[in-house]
Amino acid sequence: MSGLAIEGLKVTIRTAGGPVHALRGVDLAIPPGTFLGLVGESGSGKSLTASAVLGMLPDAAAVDAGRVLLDGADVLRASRKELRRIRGSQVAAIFQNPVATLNPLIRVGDQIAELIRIHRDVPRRRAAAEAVDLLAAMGIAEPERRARQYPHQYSGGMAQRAALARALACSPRLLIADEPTTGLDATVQAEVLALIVERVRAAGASVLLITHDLAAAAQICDRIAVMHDGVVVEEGPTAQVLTAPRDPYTRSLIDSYVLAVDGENRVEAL
Amino acid sequence: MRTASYLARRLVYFVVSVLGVLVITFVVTRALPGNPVYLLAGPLTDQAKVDAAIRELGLDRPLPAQFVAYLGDLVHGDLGTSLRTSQSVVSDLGSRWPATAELALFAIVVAVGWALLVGTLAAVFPRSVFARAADFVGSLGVSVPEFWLATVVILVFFTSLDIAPPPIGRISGTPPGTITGFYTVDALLTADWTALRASLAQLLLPGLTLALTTGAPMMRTAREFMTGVLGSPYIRAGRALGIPPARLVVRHALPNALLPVTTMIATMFGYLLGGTVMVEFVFAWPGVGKYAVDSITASDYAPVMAVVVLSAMVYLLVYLVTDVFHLFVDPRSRT
Amino acid sequence: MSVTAAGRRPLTRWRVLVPAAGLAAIALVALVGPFFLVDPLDVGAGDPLSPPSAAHLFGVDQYGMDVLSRVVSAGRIDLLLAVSASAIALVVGIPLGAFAAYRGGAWDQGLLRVAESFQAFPTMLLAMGVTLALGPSVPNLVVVIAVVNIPLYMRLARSAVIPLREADFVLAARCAGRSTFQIVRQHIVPNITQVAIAQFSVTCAWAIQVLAGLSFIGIGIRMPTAEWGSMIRQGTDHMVTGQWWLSVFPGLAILLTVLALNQIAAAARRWSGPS
Repeated sequence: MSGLAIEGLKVTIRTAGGPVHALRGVDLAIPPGTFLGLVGESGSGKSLTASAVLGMLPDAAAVDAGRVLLDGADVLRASRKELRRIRGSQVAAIFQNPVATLNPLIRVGDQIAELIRIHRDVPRRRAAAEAVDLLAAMGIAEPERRARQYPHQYSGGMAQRAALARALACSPRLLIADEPTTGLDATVQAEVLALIVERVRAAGASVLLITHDLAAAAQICDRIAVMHDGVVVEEGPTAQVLTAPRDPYTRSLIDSYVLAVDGENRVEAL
Repeated sequence: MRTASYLARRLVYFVVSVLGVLVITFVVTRALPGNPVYLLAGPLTDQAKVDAAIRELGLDRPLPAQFVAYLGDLVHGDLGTSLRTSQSVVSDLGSRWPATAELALFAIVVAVGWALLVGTLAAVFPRSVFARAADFVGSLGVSVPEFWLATVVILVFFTSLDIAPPPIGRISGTPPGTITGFYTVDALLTADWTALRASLAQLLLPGLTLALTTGAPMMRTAREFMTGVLGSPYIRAGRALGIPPARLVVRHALPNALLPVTTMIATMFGYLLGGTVMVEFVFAWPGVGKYAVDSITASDYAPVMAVVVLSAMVYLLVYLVTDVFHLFVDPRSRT
Repeated sequence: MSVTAAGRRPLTRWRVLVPAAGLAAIALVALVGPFFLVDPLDVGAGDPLSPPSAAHLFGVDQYGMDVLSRVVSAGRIDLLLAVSASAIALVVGIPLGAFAAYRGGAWDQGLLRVAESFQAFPTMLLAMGVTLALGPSVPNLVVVIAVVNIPLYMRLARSAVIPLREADFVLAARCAGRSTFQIVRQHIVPNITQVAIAQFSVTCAWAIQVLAGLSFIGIGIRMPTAEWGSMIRQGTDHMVTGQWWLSVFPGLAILLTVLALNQIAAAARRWSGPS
């Protein structure tokens, strides 16, 4: 069994105000090669689900039930050593505000090469060269010069390309993109999304796109899953979910989104 | 190019600050309604003597002229004369500063060492017993008066337990031959093992006392910075990509946390200057600090003002050095 | 091992209540205690250098004065001085800083530079130097402590006011014709109260330490007036001979008071949110 399969995931978070049932039975599946968009409002549990896949739930969180199967193995029951191996080489992630996700004191090329050397036994010089190649593959001009630069010298879009390069450096089977276009200029957003599609398809991997932006999900995902209040309320092929949603919450989400996009004459309800 | 302009601006700021310190000190010693004569010549009862002193010290001249004279004196290395020792303050300081430097350097090294180590570990294991203990020690360290801690340390380790040597100064016995002026270093260099042992024994208590009070604020700041850094997006991203925790802490988090910490070293130095005065006095350490306190007790104020001015200069210098260091180490400041 | 985001314990009411109660107890003892205790300046209170006993809980010092009543009396002096000096610094510094920040331009830059040059000195040294020159009288000590801290409050106010300068409600008030003074007082000052309280507590703690330090080296409050620092100084003459009660009790008093003030400040800071 391959790909990602989340079965009945229930997570409770200890807060100052008492326990919060953040995930109340999440079921999700991403077969190999699929691009799945996980949409929902803030607080619906999307990012928490992603954290669960990475085995990075916050310390205050406890798993009450469920499994997170990555190529058949349960991430939630993996040892720390196993997790370190899985992260980066089987599942990788890129996040929002990409410049902030890179260490400001280390050259970008070195950060990519670091990952290559950690997960694959590649000598230093070759890893550095590969890093440059990866930057080039992500569409960054003058990759040798760029590799020697620091993150603050990159624009947002370029930084996300570099982050993508780092995430894909060890050929993971699943890429988690958590709000990858937040913080980027509108024109750059579409470019970054297109790049994700191109590079991940070329690698034959899948994508879990987490976003509150339905348009982004619509642009690149084969399937969409809608999350609300800790559960997945609807899941299906993109076109179907967007044009003929079955769940009332999904419907209201789409409606309000359309309203916001239509803009001028209508009140924004999102 | 921007580095050069920043450096230039920073140097200008340094010079301006030094001038500011001098002006403030000058105003404080001579221009305030009070008793400049008293400060510079000691308590004099006879009015005739006071008048003579005023003329001699040039206090009847207009203030700007006095300031120029004051600057001139400083440039020529004239910091006044000590009533107590009857020597020039400069020579008094000259014979005493190695003692202070040795103590201060020892204290700084130990302080930075323990502060960084404990602060980092407490940040990495925030809910451990160790972290709680670090919190406690940190709170105590910033709240305890160092002169009291010094007294208590002597009471406990010397008077009661008798495991520390008597607080009589830098060494009990013959000092090693002078090369650097630092007894421990000189003893090492001349292979004088008796002197090494004796001088280290004397250095330990005052040095550790200073290291505790000076290091405590730094430990808390280091912990705060480290905690902040550990929560940053790039650490999270690194962890998500499988970078091992040890490498994350040492290679990624620590350098980022150390940057603001180096700025803290200048501030720490400020605490150190005040603390050294106290600790030297309690331990009868024959350095600049004890000299200042003894002078105060004897109403001999010229040496004290000299110590205040010089300490401020050294502080500004350390500040300048750490800022420049910061500039060269942080890639973000260079473009 | 936790390489995750800050794992701070949640702020419980106890973290504020315990030090606050401690401080209240100290203040109470300091204010009311002297009425129940022997005259702190009475050299006939007991045999000189007698250790703690039932009659003299903290022992007797080398002049024959009761240490307990001296410690309590010193507390009154130190606390009053610290609080009044800190209050002056706050009352002068915050409006000054708020005004400078609100007005902006030359006012702002000028006052900022002055504040910065004051802060260039290590504060203890500055306090030493100025006290030396002005002479160690009580009013002078208050002035020194206040003046050394004014720049801090100025910058505090400034950093709170600058983001508010262009805020909508301020612009609205301006349009309504309110004067600068009114705007500052009504809209801006209330916003910095929480941070100011935390800072006030820290300033009081610092003031007590400096007061004790200055008295210790001899340019603060002079003998025979009871002061924690000068008592410790007297005690150092007898530390090698073992009369520990002369130094230990005053020092403990300083430690506990300063600790309580610092803890309150830390809790107050957490309550107003991360800085």
